[in-house]
Amino acid sequence: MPPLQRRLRSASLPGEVDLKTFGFGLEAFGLLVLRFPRAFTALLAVSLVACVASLPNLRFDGNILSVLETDGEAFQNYRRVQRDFRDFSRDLGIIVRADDLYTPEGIEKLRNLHLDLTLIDGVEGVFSLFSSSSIDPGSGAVIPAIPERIAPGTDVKSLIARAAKENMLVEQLARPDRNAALISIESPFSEAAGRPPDPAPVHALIEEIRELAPPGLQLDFVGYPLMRADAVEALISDQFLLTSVGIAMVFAIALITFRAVGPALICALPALTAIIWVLGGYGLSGTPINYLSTALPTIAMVIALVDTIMVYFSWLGYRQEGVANHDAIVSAILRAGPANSMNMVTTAISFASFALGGNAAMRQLAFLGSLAVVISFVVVLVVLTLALHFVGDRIRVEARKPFFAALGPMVARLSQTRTRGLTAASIVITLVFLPGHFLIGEQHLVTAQLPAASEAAKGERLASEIFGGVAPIYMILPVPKGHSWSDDGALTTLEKAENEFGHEIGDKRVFSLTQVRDAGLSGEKIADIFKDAPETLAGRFISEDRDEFLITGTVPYGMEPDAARAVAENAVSRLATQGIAGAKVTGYPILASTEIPKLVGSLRQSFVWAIVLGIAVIAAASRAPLVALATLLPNLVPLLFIETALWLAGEPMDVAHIIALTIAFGITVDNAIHFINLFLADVEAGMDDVAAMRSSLTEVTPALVAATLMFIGGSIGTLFSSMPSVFNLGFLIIIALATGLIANLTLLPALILTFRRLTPRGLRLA
Amino acid sequence: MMEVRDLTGSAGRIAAIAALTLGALTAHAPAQTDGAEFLSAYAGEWRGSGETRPDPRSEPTRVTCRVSAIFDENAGALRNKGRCGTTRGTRDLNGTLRLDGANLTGDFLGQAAASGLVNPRARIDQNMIVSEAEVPDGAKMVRVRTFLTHPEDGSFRVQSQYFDRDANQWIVAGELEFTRQ
Repeated sequence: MPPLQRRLRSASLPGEVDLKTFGFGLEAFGLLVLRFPRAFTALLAVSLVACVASLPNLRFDGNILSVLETDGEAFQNYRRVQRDFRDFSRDLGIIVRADDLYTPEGIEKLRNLHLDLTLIDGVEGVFSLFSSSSIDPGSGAVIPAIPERIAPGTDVKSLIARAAKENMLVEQLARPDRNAALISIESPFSEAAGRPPDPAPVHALIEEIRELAPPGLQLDFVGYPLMRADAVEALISDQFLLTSVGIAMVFAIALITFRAVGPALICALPALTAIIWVLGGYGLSGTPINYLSTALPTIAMVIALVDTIMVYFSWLGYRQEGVANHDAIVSAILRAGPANSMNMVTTAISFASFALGGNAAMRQLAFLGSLAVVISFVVVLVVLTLALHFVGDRIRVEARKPFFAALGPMVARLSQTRTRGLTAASIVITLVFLPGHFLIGEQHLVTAQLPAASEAAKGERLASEIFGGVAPIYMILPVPKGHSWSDDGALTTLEKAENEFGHEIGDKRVFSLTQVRDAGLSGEKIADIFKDAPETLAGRFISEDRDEFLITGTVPYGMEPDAARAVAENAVSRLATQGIAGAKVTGYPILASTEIPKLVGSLRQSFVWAIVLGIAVIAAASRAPLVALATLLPNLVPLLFIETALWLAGEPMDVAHIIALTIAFGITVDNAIHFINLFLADVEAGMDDVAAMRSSLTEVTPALVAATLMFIGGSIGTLFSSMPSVFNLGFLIIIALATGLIANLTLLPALILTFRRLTPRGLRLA
Repeated sequence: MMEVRDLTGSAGRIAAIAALTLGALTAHAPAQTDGAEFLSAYAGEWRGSGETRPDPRSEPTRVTCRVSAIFDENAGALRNKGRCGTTRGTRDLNGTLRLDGANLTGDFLGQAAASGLVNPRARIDQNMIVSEAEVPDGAKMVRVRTFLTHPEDGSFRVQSQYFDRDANQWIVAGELEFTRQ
């Protein structure tokens, strides 16, 4: 008699079930649902109506810097610039290109564009190579860096090149060799001012600019408002994509598995409910979906599908044995429920471990992820139980050979005939891949989080390629004690700081008040001017309280972390040797270089905790520590394999990567749990290890293969995501699941057998 | 790196001249009906471009403006909003020109833009608003005047001049042509 049927028969009715309590008894909730089906149906209906009604309230947060928001000094300095000087996050760059841009006609088109930009509502400032001028010391006349009139036949490229030698703004904003120029505008989009860069207004502004541009100029846009707008748009389209592809895949997989519409629909219902509950939860609570949490509904959906399939298969087995529908539901919940419960606990632990990352975005992901996993567990116990309760009697339960049934005996033979070899292989493979864990570097490029085909990403690529990057980097310098900010002493100190900063990132890449002074204005005159100047202008140079100077530079967003750290440390330490203390360097590259290693480091730490806690929970629940310990290597191998592959491919460990690996661990360990659940049940039933191994592998292999394929199928939508982080998340989880399945079906049985052989029977707890 | 100076200094003066140019007026109108008719002709959306000098010593720079003017018949007032910009700065414009009996009071572009003007006065002469005032330039006061043509065929012109004492002649400081949008 096949093991499944044998065991089903031996535990066919409630009260006769003698399986190990492997899930803390949480599956009992399903029995409660079964006891009050009408009440839970009403609750389910109300919850679905509330969730669906809240879907239009879904909000999307495109803040791709959120993972960098910490209490650390680097981030606080970054915020200080926004708060005390000016909100630079509203700056939008326009990359203007034309083959004839640096001809007398082309340059006038560029000037006209600049002038037209000044008239756009909400645009507070426009800066281009025409913005620069100086004061003639003799006459006091304003001398523009670029002449107001350019005569026909003028060699404009040479003219610009000469101007660039004298003038930093021209140097930064003009690229005659690339027929390109950069115009910077202060857009109206400022969260601090209550106008966040939502997609519609940002794209309306861009459209308006395109419409007023003289013919022949090609415009591309770059900057944080566009990044956020594009990120939000991608999140919205992703949510539709992930949901629709996920639903289609769930139904298709269920249909293929059961080859009948009824069971397919029943098994799809919990997964669909999981999506609605998770999305509805966002809508009802007003929690915005961000680029880290956008995949959670899909993950919840797929977990729910896999758990559903496990319970459904169990129910089907009982029904095929002739058990009445109600009793079959109870038995199925008691048999498959503990593993589902344990899966929920370990996956929730994996998500919860992100809270140790010490940052609000990670804590939110930890909470939302854990909640999504709990939802997927509860939803199966509610929706599947109710569905089977109401329509289970009408489902045909003729015996069909499960998919992949032939794999079970094959895998069982392998683990028993190659036990030593597989045990040795697990250790060797772990050791081979282990160095990758330590060799892989860390990086989090803001541009890598943007949809690759987005306007923002294109703009960033162009800006880096043509202008050497437009990521602002700042030095904050306290006004020397005993000086007023506008006196000569203070400005001389500022000049020294600017020189040191410029020495690090390039002389022509920094500007401060000293250049205003050098253009012909005394400190006194500058002070006079700033009295009436808008704060957005004065804030480019001096804090609102006039206690600190700001020196601004630009570097690529993708600046190497080590280089960024060196810039900050060298500039500050050289100033200190000159007796100038208190300088601080901040900006995205500094943030990324200091916060990302800390963040990835703490996430890796969290990952270790997730593994330790996951295995400890399995050990506690199964009361079989040896068996639990054996799960370590097979579930580490996929992750070490991925880290090594990334390292070999030259890919640094991004925040999305480590998140994917942690979630993947939580899910792959589920395979081990399902297997251990059955193995221990068989041992408990009196089988010896070898027989229990054979019988449990024969039973569980087809289900795990099917479940993994379902998981992969349900997650396939992530591979179509325009967000690289979502793609990476989905891709790495899929790879981890596939390799995890192989490892759990081959290495884990061998390790369990070896561990148990090496341990005297009396010392085994199970 | 002179955008600071230009935004607050040059552009301020540009705006002051523009204010005068566009009629920072406290003027005697020929008659209530005529005045109302005259002002109402400026109602509409206007876009202007041309040149103006940051100050008498500097070369003219390109300037562009947009003005949205609404004539309130009941109040006998022309309300204007808009913005002027050069490559070195911008200035929002906001003003009201009101008929007060036989007089015109208020200013076309608002106190902020007209604050640099001293003793502004105007008259309607030969189908133009002719405004005159003084504007401080260092320690000296420079006489400025502006001619604002009556809208015709969807456009009007503005020419501002300053008096060069050394040359003893009026010099064109700037000229803009506005077209109805």
